[in-house]
Amino acid sequence: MFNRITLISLLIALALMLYYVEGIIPPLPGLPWTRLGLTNLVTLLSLVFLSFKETFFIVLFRVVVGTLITGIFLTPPFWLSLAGAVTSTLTMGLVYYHSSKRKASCLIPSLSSRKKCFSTAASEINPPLESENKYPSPKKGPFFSLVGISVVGAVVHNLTQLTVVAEFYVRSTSTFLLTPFMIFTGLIAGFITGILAEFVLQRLEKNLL
Amino acid sequence: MRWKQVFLFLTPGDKFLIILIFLLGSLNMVILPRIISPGSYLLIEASGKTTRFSLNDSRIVFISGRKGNLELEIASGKVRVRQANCPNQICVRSGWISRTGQTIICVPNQVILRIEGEALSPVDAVGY
Repeated sequence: MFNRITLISLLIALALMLYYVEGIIPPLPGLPWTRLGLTNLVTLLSLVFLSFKETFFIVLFRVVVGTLITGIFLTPPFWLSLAGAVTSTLTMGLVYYHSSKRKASCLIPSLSSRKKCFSTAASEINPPLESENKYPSPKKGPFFSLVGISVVGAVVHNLTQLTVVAEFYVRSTSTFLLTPFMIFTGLIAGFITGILAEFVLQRLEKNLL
Repeated sequence: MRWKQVFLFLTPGDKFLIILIFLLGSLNMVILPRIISPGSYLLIEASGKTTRFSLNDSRIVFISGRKGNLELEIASGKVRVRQANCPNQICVRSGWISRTGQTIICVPNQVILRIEGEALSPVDAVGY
């Protein structure tokens, strides 16, 4: 039913739209440079549904085309956004594949390989015979939910941008005084986008299966 | 959307991570200002020579420009031109400067005052 390429292009279109909509929203008073990072939602979803290579491709494509749309291609904001996107995607992929591979990647059967799906299925972690007959065993889910991955990604994204700014544009160590600010805003924004991603995933699970 | 539902998503790993990052941020908030001092020194370019002054102590500095003397006042991390005998008095009206990168320029006297931070890299400028 689903084609991989269709899904990739769908996610890219979604990411571009979110990127544009986010640019329209005026910044919060007192926090001039902060954005929610709604495009992170698409990165999280594509990590769940697709492979890491495809996620990386989606992110790169989104950065290039998004900045072409808003007219900041090859200007300082573009390099900042590229650096942040690359490092945060790498980190999120690393965390995701090491600690919280989830059953949801089998949500669309034609997309995920059979072996990958059924080896991480819950039936193998908890043998059904024991858990069904006796008391229900505690859930053995992923170590991090999408919230944790999103928080890690957002914080890494912010710190990368801060480092790039300090190294290439301001060239002063006093830029790093903003580090706690960056960490806290990343924490809040990552939490919100992670929760949103979990909600989206829940809806998809209900409606697709 | 119920708010209790939000916290159902969090695994123990998530909670641990959020607390860890929060602690990291607080730790940074305490430690970083002690390591990094903002706006470190004042750079004065006058009559072909450049001199540096620390911004931490407060004092009054006299510079001889092309047309006459400039009287600078340095006080707790900021600096201004208090008196100058140039026709337009633009340098005096610039007021206090305190952040890295801010400048006061007096054209008739050919004096440039600039606040500089600690340089990270040996590169002079980046063009884009």
